Order: sequence, then structure tokens, then C-alpha cells
Amino acid sequence: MKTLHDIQRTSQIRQQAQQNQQREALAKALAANSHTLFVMNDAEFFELAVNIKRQQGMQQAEINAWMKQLALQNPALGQLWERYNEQVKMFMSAIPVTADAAALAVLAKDLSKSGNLLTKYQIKTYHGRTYVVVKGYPALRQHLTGTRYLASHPKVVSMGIGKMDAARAIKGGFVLSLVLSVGFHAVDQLLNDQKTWHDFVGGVAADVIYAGAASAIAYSAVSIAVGGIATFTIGPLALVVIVGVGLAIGFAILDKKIRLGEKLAVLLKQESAKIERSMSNLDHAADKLNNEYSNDTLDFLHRIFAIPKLGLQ
Amino acid sequence: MAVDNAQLSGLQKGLAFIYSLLLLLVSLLITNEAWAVLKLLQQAEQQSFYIDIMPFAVAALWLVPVMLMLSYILLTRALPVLPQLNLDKLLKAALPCLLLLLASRVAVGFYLGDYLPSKGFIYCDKLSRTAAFSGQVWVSQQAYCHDESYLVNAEVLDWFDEKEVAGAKPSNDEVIAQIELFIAEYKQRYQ
Repeated sequence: MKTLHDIQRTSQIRQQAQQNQQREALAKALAANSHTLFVMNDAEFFELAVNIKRQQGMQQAEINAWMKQLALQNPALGQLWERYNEQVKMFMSAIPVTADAAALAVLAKDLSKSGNLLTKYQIKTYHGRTYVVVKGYPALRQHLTGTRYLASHPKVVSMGIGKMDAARAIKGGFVLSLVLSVGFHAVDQLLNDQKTWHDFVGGVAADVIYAGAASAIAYSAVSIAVGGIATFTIGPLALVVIVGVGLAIGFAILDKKIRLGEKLAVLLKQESAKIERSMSNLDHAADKLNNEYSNDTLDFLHRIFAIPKLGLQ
Repeated sequence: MAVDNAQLSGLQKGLAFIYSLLLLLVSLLITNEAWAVLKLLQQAEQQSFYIDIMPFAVAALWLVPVMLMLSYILLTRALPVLPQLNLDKLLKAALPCLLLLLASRVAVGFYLGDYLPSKGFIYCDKLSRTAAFSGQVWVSQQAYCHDESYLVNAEVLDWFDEKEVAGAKPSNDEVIAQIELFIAEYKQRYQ
């Protein structure tokens, strides 16, 4: 018979295993050829920004000066920074303020320009709190492990995209992962957002299709021209990159007419609308059956199971 | 660097020919787009609604000589009777061209940031596409950059094109009303 201690111990082991799974899932999502969307709140974003600047060799005084300079563009950013600094000094884990989205946008824009780390970002407000949604970039990984908030138990939601099932899609490398920070609890809010989910996935899928085709053609063409993969040194590799970029730009020019990303986004929207409609119809049918059962149970049973009314009456 | 064409299989020769044509087509596409961008910039004042500029198209002109050379080399792999081109020269040119592409993209970005506002255009991220290498949309009136127009950017840009072709000059209120109609229809469709 299990004692209370055994039950507690089992529960601890289960929790530990879940945490390990989460860490492994994060590592897998970051290591694979996947597309990752990081969702973080204002405090986490400040910490990420500071970590990026530290990795770039800036001292604290220089970071302060950089932030003051940015604050000239938006005074609210300066106020947020002061509050963040105070919170860090007091070892508190979150900033209890509603951040000004415009202020964070100034910071995100500067980081995307100078560090080339944030390729795409959006400033979103959910339930009165401001969040920064960042499309992942490989170099961002080192900064995430260096930030207190994001390194601690993030939620990872991975989705395989395409006809194949999720496991195959993971092997194939096209996975969209959402790394949600501790501060962000409502996955639904993010997924139900009008533009973030369908259009992001559609856009990423189109990028991946074009980039995949461009790199495959470039690699194959250069290897034929050079006479084999074994001879690949810096010159041929640069040639592969150049031809890949050239083809990708060519595809982008064609995409002005094709609009593949938008078409994929529309398809995703139509499919999810269909699912929602069928779910709603299902709910409606269930309600109807429930009502019929409540109103006249005998008649309901008669119609469903053909139980004779005469005998029952 | 010399490559022995005899080592290439029939399939590789066929691929070499197809890739050669593809690179030629992409080079023409990039040159045509860069020309269109430059022409559009020159005639910016004539655009009533918006300008869709692809800064990478201009910068990518640095890639065209490299792609044309590679296209020719691939053609010589498929058809060995043609005179051979020295591959080493192409390989040496590759890295500088890549660096020039990046430098030109930055320079074009700065130029557009100064030039288009001077012509009365405002950058509208709500109407710009988010795909890699995609163009930037600059509108002639702030009112055209509706807060929610990112939901219906394709419809809005198509509508602007129709009006431009028809020579129509709708008022700001009419444009805003039309954008809001597109947004309402979108919301009705998907929500």
C-alpha cells in the first residue's frame, strides 16, 4: 500500500520529468531547423536587450548611456528603464507596470537595426499587458540562456506544418515553435490574434519554400559548375550564397504576383474557420439532443433505439 | 580551375542546361525589377496612392554579372563545344560581390529613407509584406495607412491599383471608408 510519502515522491518525480521534457523540448526546438516565435513581457524583453548589449561587450554605464539616447526618441522608454533598473536592484522578478508599446517598439527597432538579432518583431497588448513577439534568429539562442526569465521553465508549443504529421515534420525540419515566457500564460490569446498566427505561419511557410528551393538549386548548380562537392572551399561557398540570394530575390519578385504567403494564410484561415464551424454545429446538435431528451425522454428513446412506446406507456 | 565534362552524367548535363536558363531568367528578372524601381523613384510624384519599392532588387544588380557568368559556365558543362570560361575568376569575384550587395542594400535603405519623404511619401509597415526580400510600401497620405489595414493589405493595394489605372481621385474619406469596408468584410469572413 502506498504511503503519503510515496505519493509525494511520485508526484515530485513526475514534475521533475515534466520539467526535463520541457527543457529538452526547448533545446530541440532551438537546435532543429525550425522557426521559433518568442513571446516575452516587458521585463523579459529589457533583460534580453541588456544581455544582447553585454554580449556585444558593453559595460553597464555604456548600456545606460545607450538607453538614455533611445529615451530621447520616446521619454516613456526612459521611465520604463528606470523602473526596470530599480526592480533589478531590489531582486524582484517582474515589473508591475503596463508598458507603453511605443516605448518598447523604439527599443526593439534599435536592436533589430544594430544587432541584427531580431529579424521580425511585433509589439502586442493582451489583457492590458504589453508583450514582445519576436521571430527567432539563431544568434538569439545564446542570449536566451543568459536571461533569468527566459531560461526558467518556458512553455514550448511546437507545431508541424504541412501534409505530414508532426513527427515527420520535425524530422523534415519545418516546425513552428512558440516559446512562451513565464509571464505569458494565455496561448489561446496569441493563437487567436488576428494576424499573428495564420499570417505568420503562412509567411514563414512561403519563406521556407522559396529559401529551400533557392538553396537547393544554388547548391546543385554550383556543384555541377565546380565539378563536385569535395572541392567546396570559401569561393564556391560564397558562390552558393550569392546564387541562393539571387534566386531568393528572383522568387520574391515573382511573389509580388503570386503572393504565396498570403494565399497560405488565407487557406489556414479558411481551414480553421471550417473547423470552428463544424465544432459549433456539433455543439448545436448535442444541445438539440439534450433538449429533446429532457423534454420527452420516452419519445427520444423511441426514436433513437426504436423502443416501443405502447409497452412503456 | 578546369572541370572534366566527361565526368558529368546525362542527368547532370540536363540539369546544368536547366539551371543555366533559370539563372539567365532570374538575372533578367532582377535587372527588370531594378529598372522598374529606378523608374518608379524618378516618377514618384505621379503615383497617387502608393509606391511598392523592393530595395533588394537594386542592390541585387551586383549579383547579375556573377549569375550570368555561372549561367554561361553551366551552359558549357551542358554543351562542351562552347569556349570554356575561367572558373577561378568567378570564384574570386563571388565574395566581393556578396559584400557589395549588403553594402548597397544598406545604402539604398538610407537613400529611400531620405528621398521618398522628400517626395511626400510615408512608409507604411501595415501595408508592406513581411516575407524575406519583399518590398516596402510607401503611401502618399498618412490616412491610407489604416491601423488595421495589415489584415487586408493585398485587397487595399489591388484597389489602389484599380483606381490608379482608372485615373480616379477618391477623397481621403472615401479611401478610408473603402479600407474599413475591406476590414469589416475580412472580420465577417474569418471571425
